[in-house]
Amino acid sequence: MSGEETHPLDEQQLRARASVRGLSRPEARAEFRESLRASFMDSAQRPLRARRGWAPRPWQLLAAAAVFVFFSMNRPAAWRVIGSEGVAQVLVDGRLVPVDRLQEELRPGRRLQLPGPGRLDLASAGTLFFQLEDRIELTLPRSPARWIGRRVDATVAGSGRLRVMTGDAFAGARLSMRSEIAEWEVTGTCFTVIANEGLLCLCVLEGDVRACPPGMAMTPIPSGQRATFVASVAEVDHGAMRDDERVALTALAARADEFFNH
Amino acid sequence: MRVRQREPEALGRFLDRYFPYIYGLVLRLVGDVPLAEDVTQEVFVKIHRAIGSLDPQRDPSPWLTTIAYNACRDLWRSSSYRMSRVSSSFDARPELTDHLPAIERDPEQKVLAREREAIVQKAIDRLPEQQREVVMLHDYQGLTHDQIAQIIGASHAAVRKRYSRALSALGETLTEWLP
Repeated sequence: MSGEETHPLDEQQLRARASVRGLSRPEARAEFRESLRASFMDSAQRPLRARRGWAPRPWQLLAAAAVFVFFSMNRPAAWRVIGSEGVAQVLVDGRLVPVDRLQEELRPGRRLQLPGPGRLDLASAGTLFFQLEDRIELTLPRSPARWIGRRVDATVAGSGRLRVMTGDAFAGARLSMRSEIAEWEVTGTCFTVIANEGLLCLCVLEGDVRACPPGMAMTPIPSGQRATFVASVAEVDHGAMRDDERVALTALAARADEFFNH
Repeated sequence: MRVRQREPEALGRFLDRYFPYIYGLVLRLVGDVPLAEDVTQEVFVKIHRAIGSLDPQRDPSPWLTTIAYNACRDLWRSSSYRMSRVSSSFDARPELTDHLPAIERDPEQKVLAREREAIVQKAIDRLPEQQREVVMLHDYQGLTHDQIAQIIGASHAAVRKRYSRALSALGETLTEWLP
């Protein structure tokens, strides 16, 4: 086997060749060898056993099961229609969908908008409760997963109100929202977004909401306060939250608690 | 002659003589003891079936190597083997070095030799199958490039090229791992 190389081997190649040539002949298990010998000597040639091929090892099965359980448990909860008032149809990505068929259309990334005055309640188990009122448009976020994928994003457009309540399972998650006029993020709260042409008002009943005009540094909006943003204006008007929203959010919180606790 | 007639005693001696040669190659190529046992068993079943055509005037080593190589190649091509390669690595298979022959020398040297063999085997295991088979058939099994070309169905030039590349790749890895 030596002397066949027409090109001289370099130092590394010579070392590699010597390493391979220096490998020992591994010893087989004595039981295997003896069993094979007995079978080989038998003219009837009874196979010892069928070839096993590849079979998962116990640790591989355990790891696969753990991964399966992890991803099953981590899967975000689906969105559900909780109720509606004065609404027969909803615009989903610009298509009118009857409310009784809306459930099948609720997928993250879909744009939902009520075509006229009315109210629609949506929720995902334990994490988020949305109430759309009038012609506000919401791009539905993915609901936060249990461990991985805890940051979710949504956008708001149109004119109307969006009330948001987070559930206990939202703890540790973050919802980032934006419109053309402002950006805000929440980590556990109950608040309303009131959008009107060129104006956006965030009314916070409780919890942590931070907001800012696009591209600026976020500042907190304390509980019981509001922040009003005007298109193309960097200054934010802060004040006490609107009384009508205090009532509406209190009612929403009770409704959402009822859903989350069942 | 008695082997061709499948006389049990002759078959036993045949196995004793060639078992290490076949099992060693198979284990070095597939890098896994249970798989190597399965493949080796399959090889001896095939040998038993075809032993009537064995030419007593010729060295049977190339013929035996061809059968062993074909069995390994069939294994490599199976989807189940590819799955196992994805989910397992040689790092997690210390069993190969556990089956190295017990060499009678001082324990420290023995440990060092085992570690070195494990590193070399790991480096071989990282080679693409086409390179691994050529370098093992040539330098471990002692076949010529012509014999290898016949076994694997490639040209002599292709075998030489693969062999050279295999040694280069192996050399680089060993320089890194065994400076």
